[in-house]
Amino acid sequence: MQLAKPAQTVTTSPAQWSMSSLLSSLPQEDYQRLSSQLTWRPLKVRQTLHKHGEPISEIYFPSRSVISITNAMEDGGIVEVATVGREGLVGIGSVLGNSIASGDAFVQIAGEPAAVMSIDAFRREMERRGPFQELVTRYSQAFVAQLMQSVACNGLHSAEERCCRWLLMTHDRIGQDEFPLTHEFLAIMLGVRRPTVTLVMAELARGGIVSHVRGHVRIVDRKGLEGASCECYRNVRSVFDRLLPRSERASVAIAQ
Amino acid sequence: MSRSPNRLLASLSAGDYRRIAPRLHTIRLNHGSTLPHCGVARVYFPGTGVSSILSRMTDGTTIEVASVGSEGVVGLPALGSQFSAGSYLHVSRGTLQYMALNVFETLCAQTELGTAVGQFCGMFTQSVMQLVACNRLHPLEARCARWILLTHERLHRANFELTQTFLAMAIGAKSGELASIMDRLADRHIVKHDAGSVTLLDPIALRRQACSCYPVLRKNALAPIKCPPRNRGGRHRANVVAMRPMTACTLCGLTRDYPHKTHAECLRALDADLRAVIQRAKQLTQLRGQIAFESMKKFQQFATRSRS
Repeated sequence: MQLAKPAQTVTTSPAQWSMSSLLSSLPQEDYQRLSSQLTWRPLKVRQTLHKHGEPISEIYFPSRSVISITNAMEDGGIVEVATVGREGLVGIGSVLGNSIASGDAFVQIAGEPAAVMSIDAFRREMERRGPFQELVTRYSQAFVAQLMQSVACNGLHSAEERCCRWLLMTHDRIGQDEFPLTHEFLAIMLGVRRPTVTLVMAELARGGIVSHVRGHVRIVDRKGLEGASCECYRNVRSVFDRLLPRSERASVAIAQ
Repeated sequence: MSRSPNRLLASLSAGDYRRIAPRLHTIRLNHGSTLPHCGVARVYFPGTGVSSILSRMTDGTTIEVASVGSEGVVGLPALGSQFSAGSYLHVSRGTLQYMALNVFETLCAQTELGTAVGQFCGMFTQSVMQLVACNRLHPLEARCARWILLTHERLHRANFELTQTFLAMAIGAKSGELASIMDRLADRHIVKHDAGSVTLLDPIALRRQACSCYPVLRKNALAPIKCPPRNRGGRHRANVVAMRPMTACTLCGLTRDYPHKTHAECLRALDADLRAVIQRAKQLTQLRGQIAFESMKKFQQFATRSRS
């Protein structure tokens, strides 16, 4: 579904939307060249971006959204295996050697419009071996690190710790204290039963760490949430910080 | 020229392999040994063994995050940048080849090694994704069966070195939980285990115990690596080749030793399958006898008690 581009012309970036960190970290001339191949598409909750088994045709650069990659098992069980936000891109499989999507990618939190690039344009840009290729490669490394940490986390840590980790990662990506989230959805993502999520959230609310109303969650005590989470959050965060240092300076430069 | 036991290296062209071979060294490792300098200064190509990548938490608990056998390479910075050298352990005795990390990076750029490794990365990532889901959704018993079966298939040995401590570490089980699982498997004559090793007695029964992740992981672990011919600056090629399913002989319908070029090969395959079926029939008859005997004993005890 290709919606018309917003009123801004190609040369000015949509500065009022906090853009994908990957894109905003690019040098000015690389970004200018790329922006002619990007379209900005608003996302809808539960919209499927990639389906398991189908070839990847488009790469998405989310901004302030959360996209879930899920694995559907033969016996029908579904669980989230990874999440993507503004720190990365959806479709990293194409960099890691799979032209076919390994899992379903769908929108958890819609946030702001995402930048979309066709797979051919993406590959062409990668073959230039410039700053774009380097950033994407670093992200793919960080993504695999996140995946591997999740293997360990899912095997060893409790539902409460994993829930806190999920909330922390989402908080980082959205940049706001409050976001829409139902217990049912979170339960599917974490691979637990809905009552478990309700119990965990009630416990966190009692401790003054979060507050939740129907369909929304608000982070009240960030430090407390970090304390309740397992160390997997810190481990992955440090890998990301090391490989993809947040360059707020770059986004300011582009906005001018 | 002798080919490498590592299938990734063996898939390279003769010319490429000639360039790489002088930079390879060989090492023998025992069950549970760390791969020296892995991920830091060296990459390893498992030959006749399996390497495990373990994640260690601050409280000491560990769990396996991925395993690599002769289909791939261990210690890539791209696949495991957060792991120290101590996270790479070897499962059961075997030989591996290794080379220095900087040499590896140069050779990847200069030969088709880079392409082959890229293919491996795709399969590896798929397997890791499967494991994320598995560790969350599947019960410990099914994961244990899956782990033993996959390791057995990679090693091509029914008996291999494996301590319960290592296995518990690999699937994230407490040692008490694992002991009862292994005892249950032993009672049903599926595996036999002692202090240092495991023997697979009934792979078909174990397959039934294993979780549904097993086929996916097995496909990636045993997939043939097809190395496309050198293309200079060409377009990206799809990975479909590496995932082509096995086809069966049109005459005898078997997949063993496919393709069959002569009738004699068909007959050989049929004989091999017949032998396996007869062997299986013998096992089942024996198991039936055991269970029938036990059931008769129970009935006799009951009869004796009610008479007195």
